[in-house]
Amino acid sequence: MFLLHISIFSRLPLLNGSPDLLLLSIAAWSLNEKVRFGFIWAMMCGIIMGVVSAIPVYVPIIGYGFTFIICKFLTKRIWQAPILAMLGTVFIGSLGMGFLSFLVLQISGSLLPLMDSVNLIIMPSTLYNVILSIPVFLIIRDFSQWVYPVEFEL
Amino acid sequence: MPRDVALIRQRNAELESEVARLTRQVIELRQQLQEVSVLYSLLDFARANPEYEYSAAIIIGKDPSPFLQYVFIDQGSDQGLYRGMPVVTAQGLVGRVDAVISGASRVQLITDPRSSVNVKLQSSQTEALLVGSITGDITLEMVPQDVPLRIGEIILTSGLGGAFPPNIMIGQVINVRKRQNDLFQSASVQPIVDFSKVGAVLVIKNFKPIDFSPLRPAPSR
Repeated sequence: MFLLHISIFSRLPLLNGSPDLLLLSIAAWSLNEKVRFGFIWAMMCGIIMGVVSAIPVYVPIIGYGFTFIICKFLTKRIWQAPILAMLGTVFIGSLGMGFLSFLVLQISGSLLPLMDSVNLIIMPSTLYNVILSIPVFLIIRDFSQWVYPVEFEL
Repeated sequence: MPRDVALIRQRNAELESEVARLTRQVIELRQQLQEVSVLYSLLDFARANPEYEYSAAIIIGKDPSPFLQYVFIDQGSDQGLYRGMPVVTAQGLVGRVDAVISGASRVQLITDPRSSVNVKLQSSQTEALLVGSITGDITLEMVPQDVPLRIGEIILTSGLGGAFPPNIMIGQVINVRKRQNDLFQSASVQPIVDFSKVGAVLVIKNFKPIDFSPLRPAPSR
């Protein structure tokens, strides 16, 4: 997922925004009730992203951790509609990640205009993530059923 | 007659398979030709600037954060790359090496919002500063008000600051912003390198960027 992300999807911009496949994967993976250590996976993805990207390492760690917490919060409230929980998680998680990145870069000295950042990066990235959330959800759900096969009682 | 039809059908199938093979070959050769033309242009640049030692690298990825303009190349410390080395193409300046591991490096493009390059105008030799932005556009700043700044003006690296070698082409002025109340005028610059299409780059290995951090004032006695 990460290699796909840096080699292909980061080169397919919508305005200046790009999708975050790791965030989508974390959201879809954490929606599965049988998945254990989901938070560890989110932290690992954050560390990988933080080490490779030029953005400070704590930004993706906090962003993905926040996405995981939102996912668990929404799953408890709308457990009957996992796709709705996925869309909500991706929407809130993408906005959180975008604004956190903006804030950290602004504090670290980069002069980023707020309106340009919102219009050209944060909103297009969020839209991109929401569009891709359904296919990623379906792929990850199939994968999780393969990892945790459903047991039938005879 | 039926035998002729069978022979013609067999011949037709053979020819169709031959056409498919040749079509595949044409596509492969076109791809190779494209790669060779890129490598030739890099070689031309290296021949035109023999004072530098180069390492050719392929761009293998882009930074996952949409706020930043960084790319990854397939050469690292195993090939003698260090942090701060300038990166160019046959057209002009691309950026500088920002981080290195054994087999790959991360390059900060000149379009990155945290990038700033000391430049000069080719006609007047006036010094200025080139900064990037989140949209990938680059802007010329700190140009004195009395300097004539025209559309089409060529921008080159100045070498000041010791981060880049001098006289590497960056781009052309496309839009000048001059207001009477401002201390300096600024301009939008069209980079000569198309950053969305660049696939191979050259890293200048024998240029050592100067680190000014040891030049601190000595404590008073």
